[in-house]
Amino acid sequence: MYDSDLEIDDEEEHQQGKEHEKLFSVATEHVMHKANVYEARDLLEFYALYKQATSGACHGPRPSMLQMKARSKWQAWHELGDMSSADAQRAYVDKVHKLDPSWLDNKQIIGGTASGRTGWVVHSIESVPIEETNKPEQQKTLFDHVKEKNLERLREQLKPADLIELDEQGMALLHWATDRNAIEIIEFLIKQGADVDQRDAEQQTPLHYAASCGHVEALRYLLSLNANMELRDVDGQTCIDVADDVEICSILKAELQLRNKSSY
Amino acid sequence: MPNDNAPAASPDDNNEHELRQKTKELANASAQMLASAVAGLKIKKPGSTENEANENESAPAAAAAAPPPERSTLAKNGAYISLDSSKQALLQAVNEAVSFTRPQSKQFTFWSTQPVPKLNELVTTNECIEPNKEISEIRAEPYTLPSGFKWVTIDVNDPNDNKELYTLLNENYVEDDDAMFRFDYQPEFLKWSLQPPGWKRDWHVGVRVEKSGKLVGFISAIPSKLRSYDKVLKVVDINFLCVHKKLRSKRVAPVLIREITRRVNLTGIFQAAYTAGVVLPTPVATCRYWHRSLNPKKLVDVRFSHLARNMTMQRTVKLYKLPDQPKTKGYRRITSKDMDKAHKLLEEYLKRFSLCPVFTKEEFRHWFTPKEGIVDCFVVADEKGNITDLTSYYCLPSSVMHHAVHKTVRAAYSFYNVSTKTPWLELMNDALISARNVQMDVYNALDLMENKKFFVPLKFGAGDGNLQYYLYNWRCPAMQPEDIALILM
Repeated sequence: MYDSDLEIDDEEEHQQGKEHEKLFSVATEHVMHKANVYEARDLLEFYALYKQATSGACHGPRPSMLQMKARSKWQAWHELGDMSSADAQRAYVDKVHKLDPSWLDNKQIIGGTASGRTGWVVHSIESVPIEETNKPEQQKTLFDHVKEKNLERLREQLKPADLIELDEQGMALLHWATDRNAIEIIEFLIKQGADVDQRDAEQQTPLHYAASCGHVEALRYLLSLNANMELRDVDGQTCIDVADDVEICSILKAELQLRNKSSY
Repeated sequence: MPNDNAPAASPDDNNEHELRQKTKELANASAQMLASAVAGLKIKKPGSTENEANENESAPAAAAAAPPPERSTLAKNGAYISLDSSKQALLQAVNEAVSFTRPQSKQFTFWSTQPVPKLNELVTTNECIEPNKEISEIRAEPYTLPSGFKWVTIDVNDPNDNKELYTLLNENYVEDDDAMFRFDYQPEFLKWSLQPPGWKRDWHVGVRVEKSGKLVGFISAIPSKLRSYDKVLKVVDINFLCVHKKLRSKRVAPVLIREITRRVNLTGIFQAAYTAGVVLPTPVATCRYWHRSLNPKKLVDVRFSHLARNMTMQRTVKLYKLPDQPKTKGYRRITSKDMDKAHKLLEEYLKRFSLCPVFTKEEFRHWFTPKEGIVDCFVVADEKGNITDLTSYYCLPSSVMHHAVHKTVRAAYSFYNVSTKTPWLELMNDALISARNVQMDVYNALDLMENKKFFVPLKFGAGDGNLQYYLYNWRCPAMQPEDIALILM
């Protein structure tokens, strides 16, 4: 931990038998950083285990019915009975592990706590949605593989009929690939026979997606395949109508001129 | 995918019930946001124009009045954001539990020697911890550095010194070597933030290697006045504590802190304010950053933000789209002539908070005079020329590490905002537009002052970093983020 300049752990204590305490300490930091992506029920359990681990069994009086917040916190803590501090710490760590199997991946345990985002200076970024880390591999669909840009898995599993299937959002694999600006996947899908002008439930083509997202690479690639620029979605809009980005607009207009010229 | 706005499965489920109670207000705001988000998305009626969709987005209140969309649509399009936002209250409870009942095995050898409250100390008073010292009681000579290092003062007006400081901060300020982002405090920004009225060169303290002269450590103090509850204190704001990576094991930071304290004490100031990511004895408050995407495609590309699995980039781009120009009548950039009126407006507004700065006219002018790429400030003036509202932000880019295309994320940080006539959502939406119009990629704000009122409706997402607020040699009861109105950059 880099803030070791500012605080120091008791060296003696760290010799042995403290492994789970270290892990617990890292786990509490982890929960602090990720708390806003956990569900309320899990947060309440973390709270209870934390209190049990650090303050022992819950002996305070039960808060009144009117103090809803205090009461359910008390309840969760109280339900742990006389669980030992070590067990509570272990349960806490196990729970973090269950919710977030890869939580330790980027942490090195040094001097009792993790290096990482706990330094003097904080540079916050948006929290990662928890669902991103915990969808089991076997439950993933072809759509998931495209969203994750996992070409290898897609190659293994794709069947011709999959190319025209629309998901519950009304989008085909090619729309998702374009939405994610995943050129290699677009290329693969087209080679497998996907229609470059495939329509989604709202009659949008991949070109609509590339244009509205501002994906220059995907746009150029689709245009190179002579994707149709005239097609309109259910709102009557062409890919140029849905484009917002200056660069995208100029590419599309240049392409349109080029095509008009060559058609004469 | 969890849907936090869904009613509890069973009415006697305490956990769910508690959450509903606590997040009732947020849920309302969330519903409003969802309605406006949905209105701005693809599910508009066939034949409606792009413009109408944008109108709705920029006026969430109006959009909320529209008939509620189908539940399935709501979940599909809104889960990405509502997931983050409606648990703010419980999140805070967890943070508090962790912050204030740290494992006792942790020892703070340095901080236990300092006049700061102990973690777990129950504080009911609002007073100094140590009495002020006579000048004669204060150590006259600088603290001793490890051998091979020497004290210097940094002249931020000197291009060489400034460049060295810039480099030190850029390469070492964010301590995580694997960090994807590093703060990129620009030379002009450093001049501005380190030289407010009353600044002292003696308080821009550097440490150099004796032989090579390389700058390897820095700490700064600037003078300021602060109100903690009912008491106004003369303080310094401590900032830019930075030690070169290679020196982290040499315990230079405690020496820097002792030395700046000594220099400040010699001028008769005995209190300080500072913020940090790390929990030390003992935070006055724990705040969290929230982020509003202005350029969502770039933010996803550099992995500042993340597309939820079922969210399309197409919808994301539309969701965060803002009108071309600010909408509020009388909204304009602050001018030199507005300064005294705007100063009074802010001074009056800050009275409602428990911890806030007390600016002089000169300080206000320093902090709120727009400087391109550094700080910007806008006011709303009525027909009679009264200033009724104010919004401001400072600019602090971050370097993006290891990215082929993008080298920098341009970030605006919410500074001080006052709303007396213009509703928060309208004022802050205009602030977002102003920031976007100078090519900011993201607008960041802490959950302090009244900021929570606009986060969810204006599509802010919770960040992953906490910021702890500290006072040095001052003991006062802990505060909630909404009691805090102090921004240190």
